[in-house]
Amino acid sequence: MSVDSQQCDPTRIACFLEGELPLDALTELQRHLDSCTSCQTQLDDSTATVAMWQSAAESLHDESIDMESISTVLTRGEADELAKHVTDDGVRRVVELLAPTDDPQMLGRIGSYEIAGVTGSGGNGIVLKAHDPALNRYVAIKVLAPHLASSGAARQRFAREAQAAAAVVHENVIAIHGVAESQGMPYLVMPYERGQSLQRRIDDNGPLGLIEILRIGLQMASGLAAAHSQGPSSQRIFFWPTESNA
Amino acid sequence: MLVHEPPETRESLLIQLRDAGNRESWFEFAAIYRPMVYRMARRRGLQDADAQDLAQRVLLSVAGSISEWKSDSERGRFRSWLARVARNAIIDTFRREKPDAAQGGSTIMQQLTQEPVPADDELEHEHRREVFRWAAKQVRWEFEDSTWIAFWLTTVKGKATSEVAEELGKSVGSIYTAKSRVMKRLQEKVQEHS
Repeated sequence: MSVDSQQCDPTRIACFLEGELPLDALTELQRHLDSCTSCQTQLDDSTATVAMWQSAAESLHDESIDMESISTVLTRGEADELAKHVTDDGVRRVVELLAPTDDPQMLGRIGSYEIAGVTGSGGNGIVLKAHDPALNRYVAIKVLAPHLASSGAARQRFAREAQAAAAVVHENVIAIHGVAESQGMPYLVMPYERGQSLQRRIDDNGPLGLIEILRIGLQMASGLAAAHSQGPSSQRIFFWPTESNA
Repeated sequence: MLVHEPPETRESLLIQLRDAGNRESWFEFAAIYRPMVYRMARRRGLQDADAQDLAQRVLLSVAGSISEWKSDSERGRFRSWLARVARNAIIDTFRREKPDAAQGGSTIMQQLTQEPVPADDELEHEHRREVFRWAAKQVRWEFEDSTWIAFWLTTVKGKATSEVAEELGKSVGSIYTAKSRVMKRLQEKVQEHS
């Protein structure tokens, strides 16, 4: 241990707080702080007021250490989609990444598609409602969630999922118009269907009746059978309950 | 038959918030106020789903007012405007939840009648706590796990530095610098919001 590290040096603490202390000096400071109670106190006091330290302790006391608990509580069973979408950080990040648009009614652009809004968000992706100006129709664009877009494995899975779904032609398996990438966001283009998810429907209306369960179950099974016989295997299935025969 | 709400209703808010700064303020606002109202409702005895519903109603009420905001104001005003609208929305929502004694009502309502409508000092206190939680979430991933854990165990859990140092196999001095770095950043984030 060097003589230096035994000496109290207020400027060294100030430098540390400014983030300007070189690594070797930091090691010296830490060694000094091992035993110098007056510098320990000085560091605490220079970092924040006693009231600030207390506020932090009091405010965070009931949280879990990784700060995940409350968000889990709050996203579970969220009934209203509006507030969910506008509070969802994944949605925010996707919206920030949209290219600018000239159309004041639109949020932005992905490729040549004009984005009109957000229609859903789930664990691995966000679904946008978009207008395809070339064919003058609305489409749904599923964007890989931003927190997954940096993962090679997630991107591969997303691409496989799209290929698997694109290979299947069946009325209960949603068609895939295309797959592309914009601003580092992989996305796939599907027909825009107005309707609600099965989850939403059960949340809103309670348990389904027997006839409904059988009808939807039949559609799922028939879509799965088509996927199994026509396409490569996929862990995820795009499924859309049709209402025509409801 | 299914009844679909027109997708346009929920898109309109995002359209109104085309200004990136305002959008940022809104997301920040929602991230802080929703759990804040949720906690206040839970403390008044509401179940999880009812508390979520109440928090949702507050956010929707504020969102519904956004069209009244005039965008020609100077920068930074949107956030303070949101805070003002939110205060009124919270008080209104809690008050509306409180039934007249003559109406009787559900258990939820009875529980709510036992607690008064939130006063300004409660709102202020809760807001400050929620800002800390929000800030902690924001800065959490800027730090190595070991740095964060050192901060958490000493500052939040109140453990002795020497004990934490031993537990983590680190020197006492490095625990001091770790918690100081986190606290400094946390404080910056909190002040950035205030």
